[in-house]
Amino acid sequence: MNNSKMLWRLLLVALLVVASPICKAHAMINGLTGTSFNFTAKSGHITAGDGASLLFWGFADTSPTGSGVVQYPGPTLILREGDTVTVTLSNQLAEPVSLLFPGMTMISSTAPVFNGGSKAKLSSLAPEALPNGTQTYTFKATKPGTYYYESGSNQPIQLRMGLFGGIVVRPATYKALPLPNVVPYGLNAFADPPANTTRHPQVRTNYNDSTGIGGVAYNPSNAGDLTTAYDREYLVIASEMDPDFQKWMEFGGTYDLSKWRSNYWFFNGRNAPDTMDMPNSAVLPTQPYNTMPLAHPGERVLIRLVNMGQEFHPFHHHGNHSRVIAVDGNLLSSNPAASGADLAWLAFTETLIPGKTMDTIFTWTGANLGWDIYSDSPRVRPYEYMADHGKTYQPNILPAQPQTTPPVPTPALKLPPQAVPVILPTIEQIIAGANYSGSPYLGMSAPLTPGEGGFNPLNGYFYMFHSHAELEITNNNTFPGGMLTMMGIVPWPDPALGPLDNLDPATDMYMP
Amino acid sequence: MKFMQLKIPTLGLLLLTATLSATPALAATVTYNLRADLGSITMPDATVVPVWGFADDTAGANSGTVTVPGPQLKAAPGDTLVINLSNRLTVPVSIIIPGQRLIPTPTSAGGRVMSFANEVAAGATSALTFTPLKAGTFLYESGTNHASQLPMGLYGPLVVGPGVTGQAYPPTATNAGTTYDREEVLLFSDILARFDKTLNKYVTYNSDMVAGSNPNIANYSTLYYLINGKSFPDTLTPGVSAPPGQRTLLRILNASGHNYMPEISGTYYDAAATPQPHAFSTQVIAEDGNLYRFAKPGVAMVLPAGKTLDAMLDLSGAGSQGYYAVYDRRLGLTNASKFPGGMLTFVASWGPTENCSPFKGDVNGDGRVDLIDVILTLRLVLSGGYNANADVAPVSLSGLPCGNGAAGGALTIADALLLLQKAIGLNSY
Ligand SMILES: [Cu+2]
Repeated sequence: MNNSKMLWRLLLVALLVVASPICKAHAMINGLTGTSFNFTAKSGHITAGDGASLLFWGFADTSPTGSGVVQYPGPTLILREGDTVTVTLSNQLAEPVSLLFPGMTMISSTAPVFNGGSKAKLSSLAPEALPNGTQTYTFKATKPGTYYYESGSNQPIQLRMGLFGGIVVRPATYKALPLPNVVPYGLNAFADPPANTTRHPQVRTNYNDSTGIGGVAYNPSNAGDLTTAYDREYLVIASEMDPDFQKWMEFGGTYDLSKWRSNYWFFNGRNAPDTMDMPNSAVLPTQPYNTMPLAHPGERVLIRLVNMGQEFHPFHHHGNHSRVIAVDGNLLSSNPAASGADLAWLAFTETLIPGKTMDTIFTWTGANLGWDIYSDSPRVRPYEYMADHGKTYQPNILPAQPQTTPPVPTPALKLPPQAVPVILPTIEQIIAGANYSGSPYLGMSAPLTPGEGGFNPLNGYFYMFHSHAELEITNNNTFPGGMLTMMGIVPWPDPALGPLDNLDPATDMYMP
Repeated sequence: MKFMQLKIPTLGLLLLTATLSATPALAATVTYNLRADLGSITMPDATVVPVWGFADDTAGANSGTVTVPGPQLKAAPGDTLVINLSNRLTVPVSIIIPGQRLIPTPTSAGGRVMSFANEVAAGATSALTFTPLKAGTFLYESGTNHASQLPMGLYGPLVVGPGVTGQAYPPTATNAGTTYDREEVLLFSDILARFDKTLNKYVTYNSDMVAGSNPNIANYSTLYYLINGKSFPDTLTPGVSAPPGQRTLLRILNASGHNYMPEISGTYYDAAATPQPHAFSTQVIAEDGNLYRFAKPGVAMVLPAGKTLDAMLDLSGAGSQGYYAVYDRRLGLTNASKFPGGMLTFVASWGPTENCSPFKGDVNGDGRVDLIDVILTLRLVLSGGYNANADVAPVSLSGLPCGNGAAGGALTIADALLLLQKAIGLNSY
């Protein structure tokens, strides 16, 4: 046991150094779109963050274009408000499986299954697919928001085994953006409630304005309502496993379900450090979804949080606060017809609640860090005059917090030397990954020094995005692991080096 | 059950309420005689769990039966609640009602607080007075050696309301939906146990307590998950009812030491000429007897230990029948680790003259729907006879065997065919 643990630790270090993947991290919600889906319930194995192989039950996308590979969590459904959706479930497990779609308007039958009409023989809370059988579910995605589907059969076993997945319902007014990135000037996200300010003339703002284009989590309650507007979005599905339970399901033996105790904690079906690996990574075939939030400073990032576990998790992110705009697909509004998310609240740790979802909007501004992340360039820059930066031209960058390594500014220093003064990592710091920057100073992005070795490829500032129950950032008692990933704040490129439309398709970020 | 309710208008409260227009005009004193005593409850798997609970002694000393939870106490806002508590246990007990005012006399022994409230010694009887009562849903529970006496079963629900015109609380401009047609109490609690390797079976905390072994509660985990003192499928009897066209207030309480997540959602069809489906969930309007400024909708409700929630299940727009699951999303859905069980029940939603129970069709009453029931139904069809239990066709929009109802006349071949499908597993209704 000790040897294998040590091996895992070594493996972990190796993974961090060799496979550190952030440079290619994909930054959006992976999932299936459309109105007709084919799922097959079957078993497979996942690889935990420490290399352990665990049995799970999940859903595979077995539509003609699907991968057919069972996955944890199940395929995310990305739907559109008003769609009538059909999910055909085939069952390759040895017991009945059914699907519940809480919050969806069910059109197909919702009658529970009691075998032989006997009260004690409840089989499923909804029509079920018998082993080797199928069942079809039809529902209408009535309301925009974040939802989930889960098994309605033998839930104490099947939900612990992984038979669940996320649902995103985009509002009817949503349109795919001509550009995935927009610069949402003009929205003062930090007033309470968020307020519009004068729009910056240079800005490509194209969501949720009077033309009703794209990028809004909920339908605007009025023409000026930008409270649910966003530039990029991420989905985070929390879950847990007790390895002893998974082993018992696979190998039998004795196990006391009343003693179930989680020891692996997942974001989107992966433990750290795998959370940071690429989506659809070849080494994690049954865990296709990563958790790699990236954002440019000032962008509005919609984080859709779903808890499919049975425990409460304090989800914590660094940087700025988030604004919780909706719970269970219900906009936090005192008057949904007119007010926008006026009952929203600010938090830096959101409680992930079993069976509930939460939509939050996060914007990284570097507020109160003690220096101006947006630089003091005479040129007009994104967010140079953000509200929480006092809208005051700051010729001198203020001293930073002592635990960081800030640039030492001098009033005489001008661009380009001011751009991204990255301090290259020493070898012992490389264990923190290739995205080490050593400095939270962002400024503008520019080419790195020749021969820097490929570290910090996004020039970003990376920090933890994790469960604040520190126990939950371990893999079976070993730190680091569990519900832990990094959020990357990637600087805007310097317009002087080219137009602001050099979009890297791999990262969905603007690159210099 | 009937409880003695002595309504004695109190002059002082009358004067008080005269100045508070929102409270009912008549403040009364409501008196209950409760006995704390040893009893037992039986789990669906026939396990007998010894409990300490409250019994209603309205009909005379020691006349009532100990139940878990204890009898539902009911009063109106502004009333005075007097509980005459007689203690037949061998340890002192007390009653506190978090959220309601009692002038407490805590008891200490050796510098250690033994009781939060006025203790009633073993064998003694004393009156506990809570006044004036605040509207809402509350837990009454022992305030003595809490950590042990609550798991033993010394708790129950207190419902204070409705106030004027069927309101759970005086409505506000932003939380106006406080009026209800009917109410249901859903009290969540649990039974703790340890696995005894020598005996090779679970032993409940309660058994160890009753055996006098002074157990350490930290060594026990939850074995049975209860709603109103029952685990599924016993939760279906009598079950929860919320007819279509009505607003049902679910008064939800948690008397256990654990946090649970009741999840209730579904879809009904409206009463339009072409019925349209609508997804619904509950609106939590109040917490701990405090009306929210804005109601909180959602499919799952956070129900931490010791808390109460008032959740409105608004089926006023429903024109269809339904049978909606209520389940603990934290997976307390087992009886001694076996599914199905635990904190699971269904909201039966049909009218008073209808029966859409999915358990219909068991014509001979042997606990299942099989070919014998089909044959019995066929005979009735041929003879022009009727049996309400065989009247399953047509199936409602929501897939329930509502049948033609009392006025529907004789059974037809459609009933027999539907039962045949059910019996051979082709149709769940
Ligand atoms: Cu942290």
